[in-house]
Amino acid sequence: MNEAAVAYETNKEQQNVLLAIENLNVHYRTRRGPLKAVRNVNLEIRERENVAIIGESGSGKSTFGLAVARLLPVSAVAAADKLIYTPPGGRVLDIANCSDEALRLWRWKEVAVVMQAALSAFNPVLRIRDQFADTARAHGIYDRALLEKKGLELCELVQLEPRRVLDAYPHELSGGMRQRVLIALALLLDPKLVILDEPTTALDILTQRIVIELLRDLKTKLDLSMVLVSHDLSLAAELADRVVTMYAGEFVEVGPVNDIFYKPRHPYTQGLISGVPTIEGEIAELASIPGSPPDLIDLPRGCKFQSRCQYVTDLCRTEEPVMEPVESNSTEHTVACLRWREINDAATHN
Amino acid sequence: MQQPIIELKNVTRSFTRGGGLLGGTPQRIDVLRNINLTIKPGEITCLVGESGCGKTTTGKIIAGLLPPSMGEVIYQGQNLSQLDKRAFSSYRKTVQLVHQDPYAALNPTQTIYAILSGPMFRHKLVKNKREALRSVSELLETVDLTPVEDFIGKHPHQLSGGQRQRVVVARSLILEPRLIVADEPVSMLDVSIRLSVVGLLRRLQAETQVAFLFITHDLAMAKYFGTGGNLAVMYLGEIVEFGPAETVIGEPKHPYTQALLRALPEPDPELTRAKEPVALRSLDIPDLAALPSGCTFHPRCPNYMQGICDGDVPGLVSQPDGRRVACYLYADGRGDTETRKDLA
Repeated sequence: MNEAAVAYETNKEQQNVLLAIENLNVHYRTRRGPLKAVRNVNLEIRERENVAIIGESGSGKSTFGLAVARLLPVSAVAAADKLIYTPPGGRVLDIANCSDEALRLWRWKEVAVVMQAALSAFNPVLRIRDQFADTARAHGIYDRALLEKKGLELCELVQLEPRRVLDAYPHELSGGMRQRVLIALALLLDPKLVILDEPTTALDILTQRIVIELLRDLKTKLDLSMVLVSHDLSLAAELADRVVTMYAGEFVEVGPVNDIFYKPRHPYTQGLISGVPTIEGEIAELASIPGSPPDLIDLPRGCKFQSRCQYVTDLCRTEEPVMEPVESNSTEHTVACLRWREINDAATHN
Repeated sequence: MQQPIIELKNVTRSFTRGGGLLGGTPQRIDVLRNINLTIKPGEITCLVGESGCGKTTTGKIIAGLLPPSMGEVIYQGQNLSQLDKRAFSSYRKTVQLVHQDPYAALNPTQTIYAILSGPMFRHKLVKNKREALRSVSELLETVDLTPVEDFIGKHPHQLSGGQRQRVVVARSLILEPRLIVADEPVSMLDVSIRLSVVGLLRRLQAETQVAFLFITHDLAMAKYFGTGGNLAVMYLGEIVEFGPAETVIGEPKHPYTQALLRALPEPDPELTRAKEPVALRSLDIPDLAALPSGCTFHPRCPNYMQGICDGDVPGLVSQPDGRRVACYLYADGRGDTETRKDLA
């Protein structure tokens, strides 16, 4: 077990819950009817913890990320039994039921979002310096000297040359630089939780490495929690403490990163992991998941993965699986599959 | 020895930037410089590199979509630019292209049947609709789009990305090509289905012995597809390392290839967190319009030797293990003559 995992294992009991999500549901209004993008999702995001959400496109990963920050578009309808933010030593906030103004102040100050597609996340006619100032003003900070100092600090933190970057327009920066500026911008008001949507997608390998090392570094330096939304399993392998597998809007497996990668229990997680080639690994063991995800407007009864699952039985077509712990004495690793016990028994005997 | 299907000899490709309606002095940018590449029948060649390194331009030149600015493209012993009409038509049939974007590569107003039967009628491979229907059905079976009745009458928008890419692959097979240029064939597809499409390409390669130029930025995918074939690593318009895919990936020699492999995040927590990335001297990729002197990697290279690396451009030099590397670390004294020859 690597150092990070050991540190995580020993600390998890003491970690406070930063954001508690209970029974979160999101649907989009469409002409054909409600498109159920996120269904019955429960998650506790702890302090100083990285949670990675993995799954195919259309599995609801990004919608989940946006719902947590309450940034969904108007076509979306979200409902949750509980959405409680508890900052360390701070005031508890019920995000699901607070005023728009409280929510506006909470965003960025407590929870910041780094959107996918770094270029479109900027205002193209503002210099980077002014993008920083814009955000600060919206949160009542007008002190230019303070802002300048903070800008310099943040640039240093993300390893960018302040002079070159702060006076540049977004289009003058490379993809990797933009991504780092966006991360710096997200950290402007010292948030406790950062939601990153595909932070390394579309970046070159060497740039990906820089962003990954940066995120790893920031987490320890700033005591951050992160939600990493990505289809790239490598990003989860690099940075996550816990991994959530999402399929057709549901969480189908949640567990510590090593459990998910080395002992995945859900057939979908198993399929995802064995479908990605590695540089070091053997190529013979690879196989991808057949078929495609179900229609989120017209979902089948029972398990949503049934049409692509090699272990499907009649029961899977009628009964909906619920999350259950893999080990009786711990709720760290949970899986939603009716047959996970048999499947894994069979696998170990082979 | 078998005659190569395609040979690139010292191919350089330039574009001009600026000087249009907005004024400014036009600037010449060499996106490819002195590319030498030989593709033999039945061979797999993977071309890897980061965005902007010239992978796609190389593919386009091989597929005949772009002429080289300098150098020669040799098709079965003849210069491509001097082929007569008939020979050129044979070349067009021999080399087929699979595009990156299956959403843009198919005509949205046509059914799958029309998309696949069009080229058959055009090249007189079928005489009537009955024959076309049979050929199209066979093709769809070859690319695992079964049952055929479910797909043949559909339009592209009714298919998933993976299914569309299978149609694109099927279309590239119609004329029984000897070389398929696949430019990032799976990068637009979802992770969960990438492997099945690449698996299909591998199966077709094994069954039909068609040669492949597989262009990708994904080193792991290159290893998966390219095992048994060759791998060319490109950086800023040049091939910096070339050799058997397993050797290049297993024991990279060029500092750039080493940097890529050691930076690559992998879907395995313990392995990927134990990686020690190469400490590059600079994070910035140089501008193609203002290339560094000598080896273009020298401003970033951890093995930079002042006075050598920033002098002449290193050429690809053969190594004892059969691969070729363009780096002074491996060319010192011994390979100089060959370096010059490659450059000439």
